[in-house]
Amino acid sequence: MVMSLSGISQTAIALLLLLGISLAQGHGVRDRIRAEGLKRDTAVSASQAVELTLTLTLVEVEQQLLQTWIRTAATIDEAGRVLTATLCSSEQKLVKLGQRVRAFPPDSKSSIYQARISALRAEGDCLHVEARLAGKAYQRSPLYVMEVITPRGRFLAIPSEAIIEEGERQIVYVYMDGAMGGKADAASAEAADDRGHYMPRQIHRGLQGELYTQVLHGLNPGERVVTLGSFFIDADYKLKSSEQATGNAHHHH
Amino acid sequence: MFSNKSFVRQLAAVFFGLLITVGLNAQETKSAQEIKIADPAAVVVIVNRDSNDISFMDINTHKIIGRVFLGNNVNPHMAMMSSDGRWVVTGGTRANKAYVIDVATLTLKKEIPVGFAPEHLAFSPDGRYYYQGNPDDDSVSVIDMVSLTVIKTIPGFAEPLNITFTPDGSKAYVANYGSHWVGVVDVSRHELLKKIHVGSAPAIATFDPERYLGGIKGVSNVSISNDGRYLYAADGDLGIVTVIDSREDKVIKKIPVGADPWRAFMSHDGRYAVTANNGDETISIIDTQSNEVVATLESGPEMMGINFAADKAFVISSTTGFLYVYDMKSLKAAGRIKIGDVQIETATTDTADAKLYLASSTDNSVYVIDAKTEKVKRVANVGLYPWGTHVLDSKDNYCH
Repeated sequence: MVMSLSGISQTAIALLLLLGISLAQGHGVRDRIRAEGLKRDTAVSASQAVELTLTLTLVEVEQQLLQTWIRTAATIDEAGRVLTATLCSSEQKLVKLGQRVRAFPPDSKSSIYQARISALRAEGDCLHVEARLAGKAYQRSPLYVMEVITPRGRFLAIPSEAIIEEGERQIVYVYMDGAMGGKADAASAEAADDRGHYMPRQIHRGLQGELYTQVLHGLNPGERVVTLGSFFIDADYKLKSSEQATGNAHHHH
Repeated sequence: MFSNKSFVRQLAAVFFGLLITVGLNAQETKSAQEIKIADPAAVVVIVNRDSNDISFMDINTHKIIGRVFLGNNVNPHMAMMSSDGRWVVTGGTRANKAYVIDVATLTLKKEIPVGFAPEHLAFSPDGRYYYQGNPDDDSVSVIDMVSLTVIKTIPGFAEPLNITFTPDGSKAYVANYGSHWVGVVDVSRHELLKKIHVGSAPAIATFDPERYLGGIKGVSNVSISNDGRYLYAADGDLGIVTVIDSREDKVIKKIPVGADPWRAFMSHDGRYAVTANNGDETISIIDTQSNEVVATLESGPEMMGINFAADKAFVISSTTGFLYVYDMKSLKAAGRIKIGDVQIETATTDTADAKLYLASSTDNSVYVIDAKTEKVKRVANVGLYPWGTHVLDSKDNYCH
């Protein structure tokens, strides 16, 4: 994605140079088709968004319980009661006694077993983890997939899929109700009238959970961001912005 | 020595510091009070049809922790908890809505309009989608669990009841009780891809389909093998269990069982599929290796469910108030348990395969049955007309 954008930018610059437009203006186009330069005049209206996407959903920014699911391979004892695994990643510090574990043999995913972390022991840089199953495992599989569910607390968060990666930056599309001066309202996307539109905004993220990501800066509680359909809105936004930039460039010359 | 000004400044700083500390503590206390269920795996979810609420019972103490009222005339039918323990969802049959409950705070998070008479439901394995079957308008509502909105309504079913996802979440199988086929849904597009016909309709239905349409007893559930490879679909009218290969979505075998099988229930080790045959009051035990019936045993009338625990099968005979017990090692009858002069509905089994939690509608109770000792404990006043129970990650989470 980044590579192709970069490629598009270089092509655009070459075209602008050929048209006698200065490099400085060309650089401006590059900026405009990225979020930093696209925050003033361009917007994707609500009605356009509905046409663009098969499905468009919004979610309100609010406190969410964040969980990190640590997945690892485990062996099981002869009795089919205790799973054993070794964690060497940085996630090992999240594992605590009593945490809930889901486990299943790789070839038997319909059969989920519940377990609890029953023993922890440091082994060099790694952590030896044992989880006791609530019942007896029926499948005599040599390996099990173990999912340790570690709660991280409640944070201001949004669904991870709402976030669009722009190189080192993270962008989300925020629903802006024209009549409310940018403040989110309770209306659904379907009910949004032509005054409503979506604008990109850079955020700074914190913890990344299984489904949700903590937002440190850039969003306020109660604002609404696009989840399903954000890719299409982003694509249209960039297209409109580059057209606008090209239009401005032509207008100047 | 402090100057007067600096003393006043320091005093003010201490005062405001105290205020902030008190404020923070109050906020922490509030947060702590808001969390009513810290461990979602330690509760039994109870669906109370006539008090229109979902109650949450501590699985160890059997005390009711709290109830979430859904609204007047909702009539919840079935409940399920998402695999992350964040949500409990239920379909309100008379309200034509789905309800999403925040488990930690026991609050009603959202009411979502769906199709007519929502009953059975399922989560996709990743918890991302909640499929709600709407048997009265022959559709399935697809609810996005991130935005808590209906993102699609899939039409074209015939009284869709239970929904079964493949373990990888790519497909969902929808049982059609008003017909003799299973719908295959492409979960990436939420579209009905294919109809798998489990058998031919009775000849009489072809003469006058309209007249017999309402009377069809087709497929109420598609049960999946532990490895996700095979599906077992019992058909009431045809008296068969059809085995479907999920790789090709083709019927590979039709196994005759007793009359009017309600559905096939999978034993937890995956070795047997057991049908409750309400037409002749028997159960048929199918060996899933050979796909042959290896035992046909007498049971009771109006069977609503089968649970497995402690190497036994417990068959719920609704109107008699009996649980019929079978030894799953010898495949022989092992007596019956009289719950009472009550109507019992459905049950869930805990994840240790040790206890059953049986909903008893007419005395507003849940009965806790120790599978090993067969001792029964009544938990009264769980709500009005409890219709079903649910435990996170249980292998026996089902409904009527």
